[in-house]
Amino acid sequence: MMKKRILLIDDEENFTKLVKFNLEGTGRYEVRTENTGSRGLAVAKEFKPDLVLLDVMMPEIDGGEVCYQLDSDEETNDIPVVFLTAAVDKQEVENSSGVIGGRSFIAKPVSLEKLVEFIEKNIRGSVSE
Amino acid sequence: MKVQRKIILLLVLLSAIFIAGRYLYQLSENKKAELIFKEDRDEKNTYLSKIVELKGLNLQALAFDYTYWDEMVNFIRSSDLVWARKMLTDNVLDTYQADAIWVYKTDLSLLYSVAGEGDASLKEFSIPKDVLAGMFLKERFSHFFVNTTLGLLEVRGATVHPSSDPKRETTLPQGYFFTGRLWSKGYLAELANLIGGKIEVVRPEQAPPVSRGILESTMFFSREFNDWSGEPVARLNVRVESKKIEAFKSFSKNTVILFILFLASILFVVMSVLITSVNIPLAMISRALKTEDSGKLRSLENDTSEFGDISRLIARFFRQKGELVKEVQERREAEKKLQESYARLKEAQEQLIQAEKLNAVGQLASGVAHEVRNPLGIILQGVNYLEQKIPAEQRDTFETLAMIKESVGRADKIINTLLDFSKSKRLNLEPENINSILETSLNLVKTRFKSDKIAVVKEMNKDVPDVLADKNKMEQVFINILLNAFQAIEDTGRITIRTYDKKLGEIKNGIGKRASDNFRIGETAVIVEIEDTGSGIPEETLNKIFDPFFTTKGPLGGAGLGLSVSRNIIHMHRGVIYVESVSGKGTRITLVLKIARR
Repeated sequence: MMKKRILLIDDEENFTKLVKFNLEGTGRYEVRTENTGSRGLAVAKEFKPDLVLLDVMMPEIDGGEVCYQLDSDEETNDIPVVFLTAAVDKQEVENSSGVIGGRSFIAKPVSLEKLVEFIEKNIRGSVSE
Repeated sequence: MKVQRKIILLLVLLSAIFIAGRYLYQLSENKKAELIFKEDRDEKNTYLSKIVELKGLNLQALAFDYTYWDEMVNFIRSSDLVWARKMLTDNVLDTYQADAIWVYKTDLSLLYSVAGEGDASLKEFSIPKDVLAGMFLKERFSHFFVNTTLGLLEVRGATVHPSSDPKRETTLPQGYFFTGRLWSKGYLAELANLIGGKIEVVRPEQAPPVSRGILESTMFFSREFNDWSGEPVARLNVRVESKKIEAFKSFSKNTVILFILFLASILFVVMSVLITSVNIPLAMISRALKTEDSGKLRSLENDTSEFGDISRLIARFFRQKGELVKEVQERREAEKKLQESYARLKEAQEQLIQAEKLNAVGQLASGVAHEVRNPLGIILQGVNYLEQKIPAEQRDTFETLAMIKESVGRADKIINTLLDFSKSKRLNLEPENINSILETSLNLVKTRFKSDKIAVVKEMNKDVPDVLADKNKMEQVFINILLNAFQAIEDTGRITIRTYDKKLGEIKNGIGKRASDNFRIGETAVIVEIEDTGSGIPEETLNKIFDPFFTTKGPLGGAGLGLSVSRNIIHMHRGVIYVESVSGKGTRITLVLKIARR
């Protein structure tokens, strides 16, 4: 079975590293990480991920802008985007089954278990898609 | 003293003066009457004397004419009774209207006597010699009265002298001549008729009648008649009705009536003038003042008297008073409004401060959330990573990682609470039974405080109406309050949970008449009271207990958000929460909640 590709864009370098280790450690995903929005956008076109995990609050280009640009580019507009944020109320995310304003959200801090659950729910080719 | 009384007194005084005047007048009238009476009586008295004198003239004339006569002298000297029987006859008596004649000799013996037909016994009448001897020593005539069996007898006597001595001066008496007249009933009637009254002859010792009163018109007077020795032998009582006094009396009576009429009419006029021009206006003014109604003075408005001035003044006074009262009232209302708006302003300010605090907390919370959650995310991912890397037999390491994970969870919870606190959230309001929510909350809390020393007393009214509440939020509130209550009791104590519904009567923050108040006075609400006998809250911190991050429990107790969150939730329910506490005695938290309307 081919590994699903995941692009993680987050300005927290330690976080991206650990998530990459953990997700790849499951043996089910190939994970690319970027620490800025602009780099993330560039990689998205080239890497063609099955899911983008996107931090909301980042310097330079924030997550919202990245998402908008991904949506407005034909090459990337079919990639599912899951926001990963520390700014969203966890309870709120849970109450709304992780969807706010039509977008999926994961509230930090998140355990590996929950993260995988979320990824599986949203990734291209998943049951729910 | 009231004016009315004064007026009455004045009238009484006036009447008294009038009556006194009338009395003085009466006195003078009486004096006048007395004078008139006296004058009249004197007149009548004189008149009587004159009549008696006139009537006695014949007798006097007889005694005079027959005693300076030579024939008489001769007769006495010769005792020639033939002459006497021829000359001294009944005819002589008739002529002189006398009843008897007696002639005495100089030796004092009776020589001859003659009497009228019916009066024969008079012939026997004689004067004692010793009396006769002294009778003419000084005078030549005598006049006296004698009581006889036939009645009072008037006697006139004279000494007999020759014709040459009519004055009876040059010769000695040659004899004595007496003639008498009886005061018969007919004679008395004649006298009475002449004087215009009644006449009677009584004994001299009988007192004369006296006039009874001043205005008695009957006059009495009397005349005493003396015998030859000058001693009274009879009294003539005269009773005459005085025409003058009668006329005077009737005039006086008329003046009394006139005077009374005059007095009454003067009093009436004075009275009516006083009543219409003083009493009535005064009564109106007094009534107007008592009732504070100047409308009662309308009829005096155009009055030109002082009362008109006064009533206009009173009307103006009331008008000004009304204006003043109105002004004071308006000022009071304005002041009240000012106070109300001040209270609202203060409340708004407090709310603003609270909101600002919340806002600050919110901002802080979201900042903290972002900044803390990122490292927490890293820690969690790191722990997840390590969990996969370490061998299963390293139990201590796994335990350590579990502790780290749990700490991450706790830190995350705190952040969530902070965010909860700073955000108002939509409530899921349903009609709920407050007792059952309390029971659930109590059970949850009790599992943490398994103490036999803390007694929980439930005074919950079974029939308390449902409240409109978010059950979960309300549970959160009760858990917070109950936790505090349990924690406040150090060793033994009692927690009382009370529910009931009541009509709100006391103004409190959030209960009142303002639009911003959650409850109106008079509204029925559900009350929940949770009381503990714990350590209480010092007065200085009582108003801080709802502030976020305020805690008395120390570093291990809690975040200090419980009551703050509770208050937010209650406010979102449009309820009221307040706390009463006595340090060392205990605390009571009261909730006022809306009743669910069907």
